Amino acid sequence: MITFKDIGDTKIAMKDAWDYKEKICSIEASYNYMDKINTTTATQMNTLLGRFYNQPKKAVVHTWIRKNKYNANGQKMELQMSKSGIGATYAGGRIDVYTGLITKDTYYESKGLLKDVIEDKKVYDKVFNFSSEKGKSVLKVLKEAAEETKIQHPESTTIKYSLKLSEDERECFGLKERGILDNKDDAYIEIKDSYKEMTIEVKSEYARSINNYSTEGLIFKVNSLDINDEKDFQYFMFVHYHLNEFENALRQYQDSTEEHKGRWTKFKEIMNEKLAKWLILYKM
Amino acid sequence: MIGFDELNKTRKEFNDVEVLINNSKELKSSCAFGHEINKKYMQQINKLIGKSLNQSTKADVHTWNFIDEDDNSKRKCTLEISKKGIGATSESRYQIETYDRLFSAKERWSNPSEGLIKDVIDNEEVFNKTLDYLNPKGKEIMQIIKEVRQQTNIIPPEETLIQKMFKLSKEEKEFFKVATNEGLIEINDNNGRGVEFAVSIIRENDGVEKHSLFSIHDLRVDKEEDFSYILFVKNHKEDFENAIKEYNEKSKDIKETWEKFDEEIKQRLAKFILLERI
Repeated sequence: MITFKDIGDTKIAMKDAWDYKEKICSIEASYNYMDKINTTTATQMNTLLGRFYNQPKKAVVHTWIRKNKYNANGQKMELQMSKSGIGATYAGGRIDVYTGLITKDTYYESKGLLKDVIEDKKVYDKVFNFSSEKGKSVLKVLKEAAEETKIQHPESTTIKYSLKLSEDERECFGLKERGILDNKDDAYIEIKDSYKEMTIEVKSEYARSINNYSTEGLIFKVNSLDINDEKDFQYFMFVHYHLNEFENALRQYQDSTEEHKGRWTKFKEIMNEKLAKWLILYKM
Repeated sequence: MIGFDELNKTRKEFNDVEVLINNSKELKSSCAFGHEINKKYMQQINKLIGKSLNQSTKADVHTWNFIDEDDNSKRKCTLEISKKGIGATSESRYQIETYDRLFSAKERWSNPSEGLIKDVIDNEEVFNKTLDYLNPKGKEIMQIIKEVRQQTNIIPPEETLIQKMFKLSKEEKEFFKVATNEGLIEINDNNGRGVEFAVSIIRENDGVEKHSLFSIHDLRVDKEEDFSYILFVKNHKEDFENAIKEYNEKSKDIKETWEKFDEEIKQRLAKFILLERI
């Protein structure tokens, strides 16, 4: 029979689990990191291309017909430029500037500034004609940086790392009572970065806590653990005993996002370096 | 450093706590029981009194003034009997509002009454006036209510609140981040959902604010999040059992008084109630 002294001593002994929790909370989600560069650069481009736009009024740079199942004749679309920047919209509509370099805009079905303009030679040349010398130079910087780094759409990453539970853990977390005796994949660590934060959860399809859609199979979420919350004591113990696996899962997540993230980091560096004088001038 | 094997072994020793949790779920609310009887008989009495009214139109039995505590204004209130039953109605209302409780809390806005017992049965003058408007059967019913009330001494259904302080060990204090050396066990039945049985502490950094730690009947031995609470209950089992005992003793009187009232009145009004149904 354990005592609160044992529990208190154990809490101190699993400092590594507290540190792990603190560490993962300070790691920025790769998706968020890439998405921030994607949207910030589009904002910078709108400011610069708007400033270096060579017409007094808004111009329709390019038109095309967007066909879909609701409109057999198609919808006339326009790529417009103005002092506000550059963007795709319905014919005659107000300019809706690009919010990302690479996007999945289902409303206008645009793919962002890079896919719609920079990578389309014909459209790129048209935009070129509506830009001053400085604007042309900005466009070239963007084109070169994108070609050099080959940045892709910021994708979310999900890592699943299998966990084998000990007989006692299986009993403690209610897997045994559900008749799950010795399964290779009792539970798994899931790392996700689809939202603002990177989350690390421990899940099991056999978990007792399967109670609703949003928490299906969730045993606990590492990000939410609080060492001062008595309810989390056993979850910290779990992290402590599986620390290697948690570290491996995190490494796997970081490895799998490294290349993608690295391209965006390089892209950001090139853009900052080559556009520095304007970014400083316009306080961006 | 403990392991999951030790947690499981300890959990296997939680049988006594499981029994205590189950017992806590069985605790009956005397307050709720009293409220039920308080309401149930008033409906029957209204029917019987209504049938026993000795005149064809509504009777104004008694009037008095009451002071509205909101603006200190005086209002007239009338005790009325009609075919619907007996009730106190303020001048702002037009229809008789029959009593819905034997005892009721005074309501400032609608009925400034305290229920049939306080307003009528316990007030000799009003009681006698009421009898004047009733036929012999009605008089007998009123006499029965008066006798049973005097015999059982029922009082308005009251909550039972047990509060017991208990000492925490140094380790418990540290683990639960408690600011003081004590915890508080509270059993309270003033709640429509049943009897509340909870533990509160004052957390560090919470000043003097009481923090509810857990509710006994929500605990589950097989839930990992409840482990430390169950261990805590086990360590203080005697305090919890004493609290249950004290609650049962304290609420026993109220419950027994209402049970006795229930039995007596049921028995003595039986013939009238049966007749009513026929």
